[in-house]
Amino acid sequence: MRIPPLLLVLACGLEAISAAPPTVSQEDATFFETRIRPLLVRRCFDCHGPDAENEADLKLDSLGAMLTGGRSGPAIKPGKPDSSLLVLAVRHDPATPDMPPKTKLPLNEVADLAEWIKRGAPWPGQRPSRARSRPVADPDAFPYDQASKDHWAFQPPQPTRPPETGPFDRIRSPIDRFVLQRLSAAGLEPAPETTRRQLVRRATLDLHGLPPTPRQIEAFLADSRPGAFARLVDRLLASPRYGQRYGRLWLDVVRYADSNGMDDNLYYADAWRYRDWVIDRFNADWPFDRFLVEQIAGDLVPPSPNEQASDRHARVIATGFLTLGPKMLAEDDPTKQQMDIVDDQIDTLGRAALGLTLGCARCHDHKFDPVPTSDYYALAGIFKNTQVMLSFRVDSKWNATALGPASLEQQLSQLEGTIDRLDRILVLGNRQQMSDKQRKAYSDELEAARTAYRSIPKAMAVNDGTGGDLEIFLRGNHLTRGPRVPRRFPRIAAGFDQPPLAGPGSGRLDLARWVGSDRNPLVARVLVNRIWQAHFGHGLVRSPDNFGHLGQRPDNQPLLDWLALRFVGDGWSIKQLHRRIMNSDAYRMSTIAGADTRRRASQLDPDNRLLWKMNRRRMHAEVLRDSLLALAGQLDETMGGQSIDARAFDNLSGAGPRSKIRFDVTRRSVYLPVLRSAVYEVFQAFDFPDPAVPSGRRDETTVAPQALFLMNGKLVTDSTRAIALALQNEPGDVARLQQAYLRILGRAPRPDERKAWQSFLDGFDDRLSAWQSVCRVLVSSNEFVYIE
Amino acid sequence: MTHATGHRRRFLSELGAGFGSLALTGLLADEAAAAGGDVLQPRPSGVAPRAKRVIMLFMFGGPSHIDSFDPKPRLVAEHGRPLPFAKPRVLSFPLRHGNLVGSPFGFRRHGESGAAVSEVFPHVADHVDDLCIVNSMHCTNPRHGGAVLEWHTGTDTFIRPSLGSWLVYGLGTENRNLPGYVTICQALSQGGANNFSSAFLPAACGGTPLGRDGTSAAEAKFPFIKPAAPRAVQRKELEMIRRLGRNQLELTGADRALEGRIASFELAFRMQAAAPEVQALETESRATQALYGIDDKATEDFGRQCLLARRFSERGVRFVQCNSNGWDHHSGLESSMRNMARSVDKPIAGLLTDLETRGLLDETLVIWGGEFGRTPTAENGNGRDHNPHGFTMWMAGGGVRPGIVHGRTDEYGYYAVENKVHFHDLHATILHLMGIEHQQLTFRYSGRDFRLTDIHGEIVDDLVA
Repeated sequence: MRIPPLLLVLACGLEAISAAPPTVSQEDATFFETRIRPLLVRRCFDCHGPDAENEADLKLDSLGAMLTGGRSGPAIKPGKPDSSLLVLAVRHDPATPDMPPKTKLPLNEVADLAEWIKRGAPWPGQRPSRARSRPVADPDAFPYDQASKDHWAFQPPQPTRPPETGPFDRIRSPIDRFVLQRLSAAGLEPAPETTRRQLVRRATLDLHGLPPTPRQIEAFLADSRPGAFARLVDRLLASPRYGQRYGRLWLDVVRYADSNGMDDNLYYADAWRYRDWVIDRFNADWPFDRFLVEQIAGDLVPPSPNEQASDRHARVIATGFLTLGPKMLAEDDPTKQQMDIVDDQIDTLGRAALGLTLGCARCHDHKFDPVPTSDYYALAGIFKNTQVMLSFRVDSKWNATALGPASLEQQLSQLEGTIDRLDRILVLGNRQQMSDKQRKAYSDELEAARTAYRSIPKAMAVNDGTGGDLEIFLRGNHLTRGPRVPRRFPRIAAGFDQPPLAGPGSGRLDLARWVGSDRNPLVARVLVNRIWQAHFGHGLVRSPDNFGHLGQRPDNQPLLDWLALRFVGDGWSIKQLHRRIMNSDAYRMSTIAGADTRRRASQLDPDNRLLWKMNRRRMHAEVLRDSLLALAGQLDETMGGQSIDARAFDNLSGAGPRSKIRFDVTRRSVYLPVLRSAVYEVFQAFDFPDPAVPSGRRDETTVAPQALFLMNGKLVTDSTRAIALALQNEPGDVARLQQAYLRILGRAPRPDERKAWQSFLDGFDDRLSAWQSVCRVLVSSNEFVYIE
Repeated sequence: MTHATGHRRRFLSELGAGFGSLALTGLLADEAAAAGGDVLQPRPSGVAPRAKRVIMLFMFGGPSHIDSFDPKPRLVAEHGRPLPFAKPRVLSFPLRHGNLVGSPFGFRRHGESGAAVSEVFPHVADHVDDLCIVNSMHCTNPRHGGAVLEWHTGTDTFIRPSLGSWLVYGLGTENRNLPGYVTICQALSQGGANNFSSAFLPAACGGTPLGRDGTSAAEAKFPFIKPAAPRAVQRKELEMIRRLGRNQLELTGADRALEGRIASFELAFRMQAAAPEVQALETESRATQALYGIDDKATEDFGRQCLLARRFSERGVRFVQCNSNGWDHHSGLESSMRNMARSVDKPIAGLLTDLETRGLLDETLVIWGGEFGRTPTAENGNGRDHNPHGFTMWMAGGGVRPGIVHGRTDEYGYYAVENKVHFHDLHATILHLMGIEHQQLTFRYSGRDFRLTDIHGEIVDDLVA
């Protein structure tokens, strides 16, 4: 058999010249004329004949046409039927469009086509001497117009002086100047300042995700010295509860979960270390640029002098960002599995850090933002060379890094090898051919290895691979490759004149240092916007994960840019950013504006984009749960640690180990297990984000299951009972009601309310259930569930 | 969440009487304010609906088509010989694959249509003239997780709204005291809640699980539905919640979110009463219970699911799914298949009879099938592996062409070869039967319009009466 070697080159889309004209043997000629030519004419020519047109621009009327191929690349690879698109298409392989579309060729015809290609595709009278390859995407081309490049978010933040404007009694910070300028231009007045009682509640729920206790409220009200609120903010930021609240919001953005989801739900037994690292970094006010660099390439950051082993471990743990995404582990196509993981990394990095939907460019040039597939595969080259998995076969295992000396790492990789080998035998092997004894021996050995594996302290983390560029996968299909692209960063944000990545390794550290810096125009703005959103309910850009053309434009870009530049100037300090925002007058506004403003604004600005009042926000799922536990005096504030008592790779969706998953514990919500595709039902009811995808914004739906939970949920029943029990210590109903209101709503009952409750209580025989009912009503009330 | 206006508003206005109306009131009002129009304008009819509601009978695990509705004499004749053509490029358990294995079950032709049905489905066989059997189904993913998601949501790559959610989004629901989409005892593995989630559609469009796999249908409950206090107490509490809410509204001025939330308590209160009433199967006659096989341990559980489905459906629930979990027969196919078929056969037949007797079959679309079929080659000696390349699903009832067999697989049952129907095609057809054009039911999310069939799907006219 002859396989013209040049054809392999053709597959890469290059022009090639044949060395010698191939001749066709008599036998091959007969085969072609009797079996192949008639088949092509009869089965294919309606759409792929000389005069036919089709979507793929593919003709099958000559050898040259086949080798040139259509939009998906060459139709045949002579000598290689199993990787020829024509054969895959007539076999109706899922990777290609079915051909013919709705019916399949008889099996003997499929076999003939494969045989012909196996023989080298001999076509009498034709030779592939100068088969022209289609003009494929030039990796350096950038098919976008100027307007799309001029989009605001791709320009560096502009330094602006806060405008000179009034009313001066409403200016506490430069932020207010930016806000008031817009308001006065629209002829709107800012809402009055909220009460100090509301303010302490708002700030505490904002920064801790818990309501203030009556004592905390009193302490704030009693502090009449200037700067009382700034001191309150400082106190709140200094508490570890702050990291538990804001760490959780970052976990939304990076799609954190304790299981792979998608198919079987295998336990990511070491993901919790990443979660704890995030909480810890928020509490430590870790500079956000370093925070990002370590998540993308902590394993590659050079050690600083005098650092402890624990510092290195922390950076390794940080790369959990790259590896704890959802994975279809039961994927039979190894390349697809690998590229899906790469896609999750690119998509998460894009949305979380840059506010760009880079994932859109996997199959085609981004339709709206200037991100061509060549930029996608330039990044994919970096991540493909980053090791996440031990292998890509079905039920493959993810990589872990031992947190200890080299000997421990060695021990870990040995165990990984053992587990992998035994799994392969037991899962993929033919169990029928094993004796019972053999099978038991394998199983016992596997169990022992898994137990030993569990005992090693380790992180879900990545290893760096070797450098190497990747080809563009045409239409995202790994079976059809386009030209190779150099690894680099998205050109719209990193520039068109990038120096090549310096080896060795994947280039991930270079990427991290570019993402986590003000060398790109996006990252500081994206973070500042997230924090603003957490305080005001909406970001200055209302699409926090998409700053591209289809995202929303900033409501106040000068303010956004000013904040972003100050943030960088403050050494990327998130706590400083909270202070800046919270110490503004804007943050102190009431949710209720004056009647005149309300009337005018309902026409001019019903969405409150100009910020004429504070937005009313519903408690997030975890805030509601933690608050109920705290009111009941049951909140366990232990920090950190593993949430599920199970071993790595245990299937958490089965009946067995699932029973180990406990949601009826009293720890803070951030420490509850997060199972993909099986989120805790209370959280699900209250719009907890889907942990399979990065999510910068919670929905605020109002559905009946939320009401049912408050009426009947065990957590509500238990906590209201506990509160009711505690109220029994008060001397009488008046005092009880007073305490109930102070604890739950942070204020005293009004006279009309007292009266209404009196008659409510009269209807009960049993005092405890009566007071439980009171508490249930109060925690169900809008006043409790909404942050004013 | 981003919300489109236009036709979606018209769809949503249909939801006005539904479970989700409260969540949507706010949106509608927002959009009305933006558009300055009347949100309650009636939806102009698109396609005439042929069915009003769907009952999906999901056979989780992948039931073997060549042992149920797609007989293969040649496979039987060549039992033990090697497969005479190439196996698919991607296989789930390549090392375990053996030679051809014929069906151990006998097939007989039934009814006027003469469609062949395996001996393991004797009761369903009696309804063959009602069935529209599609023997040329195919999808792409050979694994449960991927294929189950493909069936439910149209994709195995992203988290997308489920078929049932799209229907509720498009049509609303007819009973304001019950969810619009109920799934009974569905598995939480293999994509779990993603299979019945609303994803980016309004949360009220999501499937509400009644129990899960592992709970019996008799014990299945909606989340948090069991009253924690006597009804009289709850009524008093509700009064108080309303009163406090009103007081607060006097301070804040009109606020749709706050008002909607108060109304949601009222809805929850009604739902709490409505749900147990639906689940009170003991109120059905002994004969009806027997019809569904509730009197027999082997068929009791799925019988209850089917009877529940009828009761939800006749009360206006748009999409009900019954789930039979355990069709993944990698080994011991003969006995497992017999047992599984037995557990669902009589209940399904009972459901079809009952719907017909009550005159509901014409307006109810019943769909049967799993995430894929199985290979004609043996696995582990006496089982079959996953096969997404060719398998059977069937439909019955509203608007479906009864008594036909559509498409076919090759002579061994490996690949669909004629009139192939992809999940996308069946989805398009189902929406069509429900009065929706699949290309038109879209939702704008993250900057683009999404639809159930993505860029695919063709209505299969042959399946439509």
